[in-house]
Amino acid sequence: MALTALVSIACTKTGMQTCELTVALVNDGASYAESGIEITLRALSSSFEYHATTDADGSATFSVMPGVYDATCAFAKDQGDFNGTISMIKVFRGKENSCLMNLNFVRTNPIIIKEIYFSRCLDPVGKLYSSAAYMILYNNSSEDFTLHNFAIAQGCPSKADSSNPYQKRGIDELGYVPALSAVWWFQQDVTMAPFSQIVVSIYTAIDHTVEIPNSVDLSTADYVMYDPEVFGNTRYYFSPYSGIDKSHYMRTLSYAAEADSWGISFKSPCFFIFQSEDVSPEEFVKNMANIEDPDGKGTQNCAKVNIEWVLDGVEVFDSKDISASHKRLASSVDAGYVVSIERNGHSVYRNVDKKATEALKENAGKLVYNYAGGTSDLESGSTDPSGIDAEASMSNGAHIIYQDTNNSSKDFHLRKVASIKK
Amino acid sequence: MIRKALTLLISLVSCVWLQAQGISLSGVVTDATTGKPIEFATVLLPETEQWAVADANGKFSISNIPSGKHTVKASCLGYVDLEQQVDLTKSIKDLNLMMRLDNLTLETVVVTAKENESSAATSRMIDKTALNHVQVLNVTDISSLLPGGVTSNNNLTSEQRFSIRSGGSGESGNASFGTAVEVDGVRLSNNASFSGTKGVSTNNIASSNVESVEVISGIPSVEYGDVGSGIVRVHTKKGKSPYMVTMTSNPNTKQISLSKGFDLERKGSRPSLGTLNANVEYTNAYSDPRSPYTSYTRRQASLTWSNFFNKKAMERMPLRVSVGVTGNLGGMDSESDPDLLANVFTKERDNALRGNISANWLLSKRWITNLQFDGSINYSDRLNRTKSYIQGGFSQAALHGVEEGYNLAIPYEIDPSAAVILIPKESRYNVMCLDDKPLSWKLALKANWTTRLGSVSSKVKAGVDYSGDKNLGVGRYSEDYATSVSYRPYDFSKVPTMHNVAMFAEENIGIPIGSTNLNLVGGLRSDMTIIAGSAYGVTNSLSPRFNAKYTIRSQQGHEEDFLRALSIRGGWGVAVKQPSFEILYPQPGYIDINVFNPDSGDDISAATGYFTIPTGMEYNSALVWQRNHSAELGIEFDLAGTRFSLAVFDNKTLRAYEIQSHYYSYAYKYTDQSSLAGVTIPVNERVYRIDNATGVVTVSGNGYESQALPYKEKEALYGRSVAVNAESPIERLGLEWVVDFPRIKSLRTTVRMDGAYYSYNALSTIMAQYSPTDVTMTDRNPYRYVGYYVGGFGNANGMTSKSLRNNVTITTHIPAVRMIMSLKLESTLMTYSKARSEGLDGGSRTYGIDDISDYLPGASAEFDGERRMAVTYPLYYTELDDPTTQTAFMNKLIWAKANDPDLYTNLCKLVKKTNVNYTFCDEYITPYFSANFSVTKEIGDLASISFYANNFFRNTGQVYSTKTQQYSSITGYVPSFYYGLSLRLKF
Repeated sequence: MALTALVSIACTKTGMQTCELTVALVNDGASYAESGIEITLRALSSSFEYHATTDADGSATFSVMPGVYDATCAFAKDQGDFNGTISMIKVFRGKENSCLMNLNFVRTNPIIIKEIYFSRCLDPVGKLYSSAAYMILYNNSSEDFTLHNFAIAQGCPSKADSSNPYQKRGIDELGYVPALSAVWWFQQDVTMAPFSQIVVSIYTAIDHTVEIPNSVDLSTADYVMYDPEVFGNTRYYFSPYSGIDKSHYMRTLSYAAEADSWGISFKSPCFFIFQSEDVSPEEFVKNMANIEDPDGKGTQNCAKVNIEWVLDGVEVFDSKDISASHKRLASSVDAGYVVSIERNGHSVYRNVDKKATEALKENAGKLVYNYAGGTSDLESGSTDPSGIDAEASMSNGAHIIYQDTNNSSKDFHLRKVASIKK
Repeated sequence: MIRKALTLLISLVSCVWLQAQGISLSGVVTDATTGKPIEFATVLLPETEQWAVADANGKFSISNIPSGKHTVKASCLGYVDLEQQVDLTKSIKDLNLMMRLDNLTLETVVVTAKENESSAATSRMIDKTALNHVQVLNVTDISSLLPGGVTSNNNLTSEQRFSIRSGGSGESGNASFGTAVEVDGVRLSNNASFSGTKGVSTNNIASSNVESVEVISGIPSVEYGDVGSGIVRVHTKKGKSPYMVTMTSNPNTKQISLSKGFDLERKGSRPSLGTLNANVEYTNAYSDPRSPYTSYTRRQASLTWSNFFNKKAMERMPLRVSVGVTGNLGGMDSESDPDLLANVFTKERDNALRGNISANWLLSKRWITNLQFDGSINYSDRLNRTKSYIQGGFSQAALHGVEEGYNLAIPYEIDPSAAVILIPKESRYNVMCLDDKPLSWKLALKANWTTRLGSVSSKVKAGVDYSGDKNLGVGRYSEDYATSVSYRPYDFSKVPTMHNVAMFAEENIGIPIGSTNLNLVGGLRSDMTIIAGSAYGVTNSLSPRFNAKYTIRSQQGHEEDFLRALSIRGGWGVAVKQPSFEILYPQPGYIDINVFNPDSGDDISAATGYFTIPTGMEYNSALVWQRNHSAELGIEFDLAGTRFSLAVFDNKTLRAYEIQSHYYSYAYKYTDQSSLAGVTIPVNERVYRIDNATGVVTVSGNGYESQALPYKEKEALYGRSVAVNAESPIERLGLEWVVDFPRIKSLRTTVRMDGAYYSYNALSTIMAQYSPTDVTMTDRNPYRYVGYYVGGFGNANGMTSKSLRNNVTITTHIPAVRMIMSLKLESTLMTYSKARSEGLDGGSRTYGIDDISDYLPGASAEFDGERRMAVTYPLYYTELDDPTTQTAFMNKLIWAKANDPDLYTNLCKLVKKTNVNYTFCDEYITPYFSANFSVTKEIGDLASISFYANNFFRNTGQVYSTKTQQYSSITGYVPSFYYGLSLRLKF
C-alpha cells in the first residue's frame, strides 16, 4: 500500500502528468448536446488514438500529454450522417484546454471517388516512374446516374505541406472549394449503371507494365485526361492506346500561368468532383470572375467552385510530412485525411461499408472476407476495417457499397497494390 | 581630334631636338648579404625604357642615355626590386646595386596590394609575398586585396571571373566580359566562346606559377584593346630560382607544385644559354568534401625560356627573348555516387595550351629606343560530356531537322537522316557532348622612342597589333544519335573568324615645373574588326585615352615635413569591347509545333508529327560595339607618414549588348484525334505519312485505300532572338581610398585602411516584345497577342544599387623571427538596392493594385517604395494578323473587363504581376562584419608555412533586410568559416 503510494507520488513528481482537454460539439452555431457520441483524438507525433464519449452537454474530456492533436468524430442519425473535425489542437500544461468541434451534416451522393493511384513506382533501374496515374469513379447506388456538367478538379495547393494561401482566411469560411489550375470535363454526358465504375487515366493511358513492370496497365482505361492542345507535355501525355474511344478524351482549359501539364502531387494530392449548375464547367472557368489568384503569383490560380456543387472529395497527406500538412478541402466535403506512402505503387482505396453491403440480398454468399490487401504491416500504413475484399467480391458478382462519411480518415485506406493491377 | 594633332606635333618637335647624348651607365648587381654577383638581374631605366641584363659577374652596361635625373630599377626573381635615383649628367662606371633577398627578414614587407606610383592611371601590384600570404589558389582570390575587396572562399568547382569596379553578375552591361585577363602578355579571350557573353574563367591558370599580378582599374594605356573596364596582368616566374615545392590544403582543395628556374650555363667562358623556368602543378578541388564525385582538377606544366644576347655586334643593342609554353589538363567531373544506382555524370574538360614569345630589342638609336615584339596563341578545349538516364515507357520523338516543314517521327533504322527520329520505348542512357574549342592568337609590334628636351622627357609609344578569334569545336552532338534527345547541330567551326587589326600611338611627357612634376599621357587607338563572310563585314572604332599626373611634392627631401608628398591625377578614356560569338552568331533557333498525335498501338509507339520552323539568325544591321567611357580623378598625399590614396571614377557603359526577341506569325495545319475516328484500317497495320510542305496527314495500310485526314488551320506566334544595343547607358560611380598609417615600431605593426563606395545605376528604355507563345486562349487556339514593353517583360526595368565597404588590415611583421601576421577586418557598412520601373518620357509602366487577385490598378496606383503588389503592363500590343496596329494596352484592358470577358481573360496573360509586396521597396541590408587572420612563418631559408582562417570569429549572425523585413542568415554575405594551410620548401 505504502509502496503504491510512494510510486504514485514519485510518478507525479517526475512530471508524467497528463492534461485535460475538453472537446464540445457544436452544430449550426448552437451546442449539440447529446451524450454517447465517440470522439477520436489523434496525436500528430505518434499517431496514437484516444477515444472518449460525450456527456449530456455534448462535451468529451481527454487526459493526454501536452502536444498537438487532431480530433474527428462521425456518427449516424436517422436523417443522415454527421461528422466533424478539428486539426492542430494545441494542448498546454497548466491551462484550460478546450475547443469546439463544428458538426457537418454529411450529404452523400451516389457518385464517389473509389480509388486514386498517384504515388509513382520504381522502374527496373531504380528510378521513379511518374507517367502513370488514375482515378476510379464509382456509382455507389442502385440507380443509374448521369454525369452532366461534371468535372474533376484538384485542391490548392497540390501538395498538402506546401504553404496554403487559404489558410489565413480559413478553408471552412470560404463558401467555395478552390480548384487549382484547371478542371477536366467529359465531351458528352456519361451515364453510369448502378455499382459500376469508370477508370479515368490522369496521365498516359497505355500499358505501362511492358517497360515498367511495377506500374499499371491503363490501355483499358475508360476515359483519358488527354487534351494536347492545352497540355502538351509529351513526357506525361503520350498518345493514348488506340482501343480507347476518341470521344472518351476529356477536355480542359487552363487558367493558371503557363503550364504544359496538369500536375498532381505524388505525395499528398487532393481531388474532388463536382457538377456545376446553370453553366457548364467550360463556361464557368472561362469567366475571370470565377478565377482568383490567391497569392498573387499567377501559378496557383483557382476556380471558385461552389461548395454546393461538390459531390465528393479525397484528401491525402504524405506519411513523412503529416505534421507539416494542412487540409485543403472544407470539413463538410472531407473532414479528415488518408495517409499515403509514395514511391511503391500503392493506391488510396475506399473502405467497404460493411453494414450496407452485407444488407444487400444479392450479395449473399458472394462476399469474400479476410482482406489482406492493405498496408497495415507498414509504418503509417492502413487497411480496410471491414475485412471485405471488394475486388474479389465484385469478381464473384457481388455489389459493393463503399463507405462514404465524408471523412477520408475513416473512408479510405492505403492499398498495397493498385486494384487494376491483376 | 585636336588632341591627336597636338600629340603628333609634340612628337615631331621632340624629334628635331634629339641629340645623341652618349652617356652610359655601368656597374655591378650584387647580393647585399653575400656580395655575390646576381646573374640575369634586369636593370631598367623606366623613363627611357632602356635596360640591360647582368652577366655571370653581375656586370651590366647601358649606353646612349639622355642626360638628366633617372630612376634605376633592378629586379630579379627572388630578390626585392631595388630603385635608386641617379643623376646622369655624365657617365657612371661603377654603380653597385645591392639587392636583398625577398624574405621575411626584410624590414619592410607588404602583404597587401601596392599602389603603382609611377602610373598616372590607378594601377596596383600584388607581389609574391602577398600571394603566398593570402594563399591564392585561383587568381581571382586577389580581388580581396583591392580597395573595398571582399574575401570569399572561392571554390574551383565553379567558374570564377574577374570584374573590376563593378557589383557582380546581377548587373547588366557585361562587366566581367569587359575585364581583360592576360598571362605573360597572352590575352585570355572569351570572345570565341558560345557559352555566353561572360568574362574568361581563371580556373585554369596555375596559381603556383604566378609571380605577381598587376591590376589596372583606371584608364589603361592605348596599347590595350578589346577591353571594357579593367585589365588584370598575370606575370609568371622568370629567372634563376632554387627548387620550390609548394603544398596547399584547405577543406575543399589540395594543391602540390614543383618549380625551378634552371640556369643553362655552359662550361668555360661561353655565355649561358639563358634560364629555363619549369613549373608543374596539380590541384584538385571538391565541391563537397564528403564526396569526391564532383571535382575540378588542374594539372599544369609550363616552361619558360628566357635569354639575352649582348655580345659582339649586339653589345650596344642587346636583345632579350622569352618563349613560354603552358599546358593544362583538367576540368570538372561530377560522376554521381555509385551507391545511387544512376550511372550518370557530367565531365567538362578545361584543357588549355598557351604559347607566347616576346622579344625586346634595345636599339638606343636616335630615332628609336627599343622595339618589342609579342606573339601569343591560346587554345582551349572545353568539351562537355553529360551522361544522363532517359526513362522509357513509351516512344519519344527527337527533333533534329533544320529545314522548314512537316515531319513525322521515323525510327533511326528506317531513315537515319530523318528530321524527327522516333526513339523506341526502352529506357536508356545517352551521352550528350558540347564541343567548344575557342582559339585566339595575337601578334604585336611596339616601338618606344624616348627623348629629352632639356628637362622635359618624352616617351612616344606606337604599335600595331593583329589578333584573331575562332572556335574549332563542332558544337553539340550525341555519342549515340539513334537514341539521343532533341538537339540541332550547330558547327562552331563553320563560323567565320573574327580578325582585329589595331594601331595605336601614345605620347608620355614628363615636365618638371620647379620642384613639381607634370606627367601627361595621351594616346589614340584605332581598331578595325574584320569578320569575313558575315553580314557585319568590317567595322572601325577609335579609342582616345588621356591621363595626367601632377606631382606637387615627392617623398625625397621631405621625409621630416608634415606634408611629405602630394600628387593629383586624372584621366579620361574610351574603351571598345568586341562582341562575343554568342552575340555575333546567335545559335539558330527552331520552333517545333506538335501537329499530329496518332493513337498508340501494341508497340506503344506513336509517329508524332511536328511542324518545324527555323527561326534563323536575325542579323541586326544597326549593331555597334559596346564601349566604356571612363573618367578618373585621384589624389595621393602623405601627412606625417600616413599615406593617403583616393580615387574617384565614373564609368559609363554605352550600347551594351543585349539579346531580345522579335515575334512573327505563322500558320499550320493541326490534325486532331477526332480525325482518326473515321479511319477503318486496324491500328497495328496503319502507316502514316505527312506531306512535308502542306502538312496533310494520310494514313494507308496493306490492302486498304489511303485516306487523307481532316485538319484544322491554326495561326500562332514564334519568337526569334536578335542582338541589340542597350539604349540607355549603365553608370557606375565610385570612390576608393587606401590609408596606410605609419609603422608603430614598438609593436612592429602597420595598419592599413582601405575601402570603396560604389554606386550603380541602370535603366533599360528599349522597347522589347514579349508573347507567351505556348499559352492557349479561351477559344483553345494558340496565343495571338504580342506585348511591347518599355525595357523588357519584367517587373522592373532598372536598378540602383550602392555599397560602402571598409577594411582594416593590421599587419605585424617580426623580421627577427621571420614571421608576419595579418588580421583583416572586413566591414560592409551599407548595401542598398532598389528596383526601378519607369516608362518613356516620365510615363508609367507599373501600377499598384489593391488586391492580389487584381489585374487592374487600384484606386491609387502609387507603387514606388510602397509595400504593395504591382502590375506591369505593356505600353501597347499588336495582334497576330495585324502587326502594324498598336493598341494602347491599359485602356483596352479596363474596357475589356466590363465589356468583353474573353478578351479580358486573354489580355491578362500579358500582365506581369509582382510575386511579393516589396518588389519596389528600398532595400538596406544591415551592416555586417567578418575577420580574417593569416600568418606566414619562414623556417630558415628552407621552408615557409602560411596559415589563414576566414571569418575566424565564426560570425553566424543575421542580417536584416528593410525590403523583405526579414532576418536572414549571414552565410551568403560573409565567407563561411574556412581555413587553409600552405607549405613551401626551397632547396
